[in-house]
Formats: sequence, structure tokens, C-alpha cells
Amino acid sequence: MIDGNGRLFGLVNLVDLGLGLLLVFGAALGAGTYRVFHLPVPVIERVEPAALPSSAGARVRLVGRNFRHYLRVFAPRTGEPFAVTPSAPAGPELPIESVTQDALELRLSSLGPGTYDLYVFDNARELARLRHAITLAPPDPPRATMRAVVRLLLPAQVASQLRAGDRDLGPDANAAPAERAQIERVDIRETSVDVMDMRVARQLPGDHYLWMGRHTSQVMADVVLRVPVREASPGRWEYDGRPLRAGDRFDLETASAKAIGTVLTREDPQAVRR
Amino acid sequence: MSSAIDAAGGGRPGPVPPPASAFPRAARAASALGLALGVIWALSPLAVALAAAIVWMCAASVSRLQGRERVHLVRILALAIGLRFIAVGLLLVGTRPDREPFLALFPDAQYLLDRSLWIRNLWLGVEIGPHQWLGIVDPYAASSYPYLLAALQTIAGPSPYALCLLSVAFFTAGALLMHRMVRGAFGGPTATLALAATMCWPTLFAWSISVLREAFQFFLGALVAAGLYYAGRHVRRGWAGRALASTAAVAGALWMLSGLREGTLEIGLLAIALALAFRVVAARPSVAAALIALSLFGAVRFEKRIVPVVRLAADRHLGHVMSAGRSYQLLDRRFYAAGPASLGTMTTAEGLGFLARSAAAFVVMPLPWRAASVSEFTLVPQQIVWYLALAAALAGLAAGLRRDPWLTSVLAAYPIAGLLIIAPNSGNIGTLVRHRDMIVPFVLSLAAAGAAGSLHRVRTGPAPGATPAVVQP
Repeated sequence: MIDGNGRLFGLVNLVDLGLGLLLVFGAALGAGTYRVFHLPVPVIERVEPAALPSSAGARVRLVGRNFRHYLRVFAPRTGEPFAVTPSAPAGPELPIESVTQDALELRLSSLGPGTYDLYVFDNARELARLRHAITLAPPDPPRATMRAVVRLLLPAQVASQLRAGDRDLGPDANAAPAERAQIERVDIRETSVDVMDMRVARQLPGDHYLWMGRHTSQVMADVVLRVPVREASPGRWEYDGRPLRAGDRFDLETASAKAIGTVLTREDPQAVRR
Repeated sequence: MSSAIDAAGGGRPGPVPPPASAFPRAARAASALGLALGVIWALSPLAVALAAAIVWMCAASVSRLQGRERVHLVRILALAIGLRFIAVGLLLVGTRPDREPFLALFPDAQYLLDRSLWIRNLWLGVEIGPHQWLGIVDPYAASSYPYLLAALQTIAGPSPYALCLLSVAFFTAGALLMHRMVRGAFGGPTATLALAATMCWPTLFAWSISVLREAFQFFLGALVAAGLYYAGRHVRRGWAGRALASTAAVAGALWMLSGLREGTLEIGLLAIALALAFRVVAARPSVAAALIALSLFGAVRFEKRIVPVVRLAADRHLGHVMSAGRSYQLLDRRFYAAGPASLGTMTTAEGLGFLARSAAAFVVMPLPWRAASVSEFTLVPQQIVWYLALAAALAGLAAGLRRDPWLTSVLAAYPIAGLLIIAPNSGNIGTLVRHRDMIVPFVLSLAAAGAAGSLHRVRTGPAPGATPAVVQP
């Protein structure tokens, strides 16, 4: 098997064979060691879900590979600089609820409506960056429609312009009609209140004078409105961002008239919740 | 024909078989060792280089010795270094890669390693986050040491465990430097005892296997002390070149200490001043009274400059007391109730009381009979040995002044300088032990001299190391 020159089957020298086997063994050992000790870089494949409503319990999952427990995830708002300060060294960091090798579950309770980028770090460097990774929609509060009676004190000529079916236009010209209050009925009464038109005028700095105009003829109009409202907070119903309660001011502006009044009564919203 | 006669057993003896050679066994061992080193080198070249450096330092120190002293030193170093290597190996084996990037004994070590990696990645253009940027410039624990670690990892790659060996290397270098210094003046047995105590001191063991600044700080402190000692000796012998080299070593060590940790430069400078003062007093005891009078005059004359420094130290002490961990109190109670703002009303008497209590606490804390946690209970045996070492150091002080006043002055100056700087600025037991350990080896050297002297008196033999086979540097 081994000839006189130390060659195996007369083909290869034993020393050369030994060195070759040593090289193969060393290469295999190196590859195995690398495989054992080299940590693959985490890879993020997607965010589930990418869009969701903003709420206290909102969560998302980062799905990918090679995640580890000591990763940190930050979510700055898209378009804003990703920064931390000495007073807030954690910055926009998201708490990690759970970690597996394939997924990270993140809690988003600290985030408001908007779009956010995601940055993933290990202990030493940035691993991944996702632009526009998460979109949080504004919360959809409970809605209802309630009847409210608004008392207006206005000239008779103006009051006659208020008609059933007219809608309050409001500041947003593009608002859907269903989002605007609608006049159901207008009850106009003569008043015994004598209204004097007065204004304070100023011509020069420090120079004030009171202008007193003539008496005007005012009527009292109780306008019954169907008002679409939203529950901004428990028990607080709002229309156009303003609370709707007895005594609150109500600005009514239709296509033909404009007046400022006071809410007299409103229905119990519980009875009319959608 | 001759072979036939030989085969018949008659006439000339047969050919003598060649002696059994140890070469095949040595070749196998060398091959296996080379293979293992190659694998380790591939994984961590820095670890191999540092391990080689540690072995070389120990071999160089041992090679100059002879007889039983050499045997003892080899055993001590083999045991101490071997245990350290095993401890670092256990850290490596105990790491769970999915849970942590690396395993560190102390949170400060983990933070230091992380900080060095952020700096390294910054230098290499690897993207890091703003929170990591902030960590680099954070004044908390700001130091030049993470930059040294970052430089090494820039060359060799991230090496959290090899850097543990860097701490081992620095600590070993410092201990061997002190051994050489003490042996030349106090003899072999004293130096060996001091080295054994230093290498086996439990908390020093813990710092020396962690990526903390303590090992490097100890090495620089030993370098300052050794440089100062040898500079004085060379000046006395008229060796200007060597004196200049020693002085340059001291200056370099002080420069590195200045960026390492707040207060360490001050300790070094104060130690130099105290060593010189002690030497003068040792030569002329009558000068002591003048020095004390001068100190008192200076304290009174510059009281307005000293008071703010004392209040600043008291403020730091309050910060330690109010932070997490076991603490101890040094100030009057009203300051703890009213907070840092009340320090502006501190009187001279209150300040002196604070300084006196801080000095006492530096020596006696933590009190063994007040241990209240597992970690404090584990410190109790060491603390008792510390008390004994202090007592022996006082005896060593007396013995050392007779043998080598200059070395004794240097060894005594460093602990006292440490006490003056560290004591008023402490308040947390763990932090106190960690900072105090930087002067423990100096106390242990004096304690070894005291213990060796006491042992000599018991044996009534020749003076320890009276005629050692010392190879002068």
C-alpha cells in the first residue's frame, strides 16, 4: 500500500497527504467555527400591519429573520429628524413586547396619528431603516346626531332668511353635508327687549368715544337644529370642535343668513347614539 | 556470515536499537497546540497577542530569579493568571448570543464596551444611532479609555473578551512592576508575598478580568510609583540618562491618568509631593514639625479657596448617598435633610468633621458587622484581611524606613494621596471599595514588609532578603 518512497499506492507522498488533510480539516473547522460564532445580521421583511388606527393598545409586528432580544427599535415621525436629547435619551424608542427569531412585537401607545419611520439597532450600530413604515390613522370617536334648540336675537329681516332645511356652512367649505347641522324648524317671536346698537370707536391712540346708534327692531328666533356630534371625550359632545351644551355659543351661518346664538337645550346623546 | 553468527547468539553483539525519541510526541503536541492557536487567532487575534504578552511578561520576570523564589513565583503567577484566563473563558462560554451581544461582569463594563464599539463604528463610517452618538459624548463616565479600546477594536475587530485579557495584561504588568521595585529594596520573600496578595486579592481579581478602567489605572499608578522611585535612585547614583527616562515615564503615566478618570491625576501629583516630603522627613525628622506648621498655615491662609473644594466634595458625597446602592453618611444630619443647597452654610467645624469622618470611613468601610446584602457578606473576609494588612503595613512602614526610606516613602505616599482625594468624594460602599482598591497593592507591599519582618523576628534568622541574589535593573 505504501511504497519504498513513502507514497500511498505509489501516487501521493504521505507527508503531502497529511498536509492536505490538515488543510481540509482546518478549512472545515474554520467554516464550522464561523458558522457557530458569526451572528447573522437581522433582516426586516415587512411590518404587520403597516396602517392601523391610533389607539392606546396599538401594536405592530416586525417580521423577518435573525432577531435577537437586545435589539432596539425607534420610530421617529416621517419627515422629522431622528434625534434624542440628554433629557430624553431614549427618544422615540418603542417598547418591545415580545421577541422571537422571526418577529418583534412593538407597542405603539406613545405614538399619535401620522406616519413613522422605523430604525432598528443592536448594541453597536444601525441594522435596518424603513421609511414610511407605519401609518397611524386618527382615532374614530363615537358619533351621534342630536337635536338642539338655539336662541338667536337678530333683526327681523335677517330672521326671515332662516328656513327649514338650510344647512350650517361652517368654516370648512369641503365638509360633507352630513357633517353639518341642519335647520328643522324656526320659531320667531317678537321681543320686548329694546336693543340699542352701540359701538366703541377709536380714532387716535388714547382717544376713545362711544357711538350710540338708533334703536333697532330685534326678534327672537328659536332654531331647532339636527346637529351631528362627536364624543371627543367621555360625556363631551362636540360640533365643529366646540362643545354642544346648554349655554354654549353657537355660530349659525347658512347660505342666506348669519347669526350668533346660545344653545338653550339639547337632547340626551345616549338616546340618539348611532 | 556475520549476521548468521549474530543470529546464533555468539560472537559480536547485534546492532543497538536507536534510543526512543520524544520527537513524535512533541510533534503531535506542537501540532495540536498550533492548530488550537490558529483557531483562536482566527476568532480573536487580539486575545492571542495579549495572552502571549502576558506569558512573556511573566517569563521575563521569572527568568531573573533562582531557586525556591523562582518556583514560588512561577506557581503564583501560573495560578493567578490561569484562574483569570479560565474566568474570561467562562464569560465566553456563558454568553447566550440571542440574549446578549456579550457577557460582562459589571454594568459599567458593558457600558464601556458599548461605548468603545460606538466610537469604533464612528471611525469606520458604520451608521450609528443618535442615542449612541449621545452615549459617546455623554459626560457620565467620560474617559480616554474607551478610545483606547476603540483603537484596538478598529485594528482587530470587536473583541469584548480579548479586552478582558487587556485588563489582565495591565494588571499583571502593574503587579510585576511593583514586585520588581519591592524586591530590589526589601528582598525576594517580601516581594513574593506582596505579589501573591495583590494577585489574589478578590476584588482586584474581579476588576482585573473586567473591561473597566481599574486595571489600567492601577498599571499607571504603579508606573508613576516605580518611575518616581527609580528616578530618585538614578539621581542619587548619578545616572542622568536613566533618571530622565524614569521621569519621562512618570510624566507619560500622569498624562494618561489625566484623561482616564477625574481625580487620578491629582492623586498621582499629590503622591509625588508626599513621597518627597516623607523622604525629607525620614532624613531629617526635625523638618516634620516645620512641614506640619507650613501645612496648617497654608490651610488657614487659603481657607477661602479650600472651603469651596470641601463643599464640592460634600456635594459629590451627597450625590452618592442619594443614588442607588448602599451608602454611608459623613456630614451632619441637617445637610441630608436640607439637600445640596444647604452646603453653602457649612461651617469650618462641620467641614473639618466631614473630612475626618471621610478619612475614617475610607479605612474602615464597609463595616463587617453591618453587612446587609449578599455582596456585602462576601466582602467580609476580605475586609478583615484588609484590617490586618493595615496593621502589618504600619509595622512595614517602620521596617521599610530602615531598609529603604525612599521606597517606603513612595509606597506610603500613594495610599495617603488616595485617601485625601478619594475619601471626601465618596459615599457609596461599592464605589469606595472600587476606588480604594487602586491603592491596596501599595498597602499590601508595606504589609508584606511588616509581615516578613515579624516572621523574621519569630524565626530569629537572618534579615529577610539581607543578601538576596538581586539582579540590579
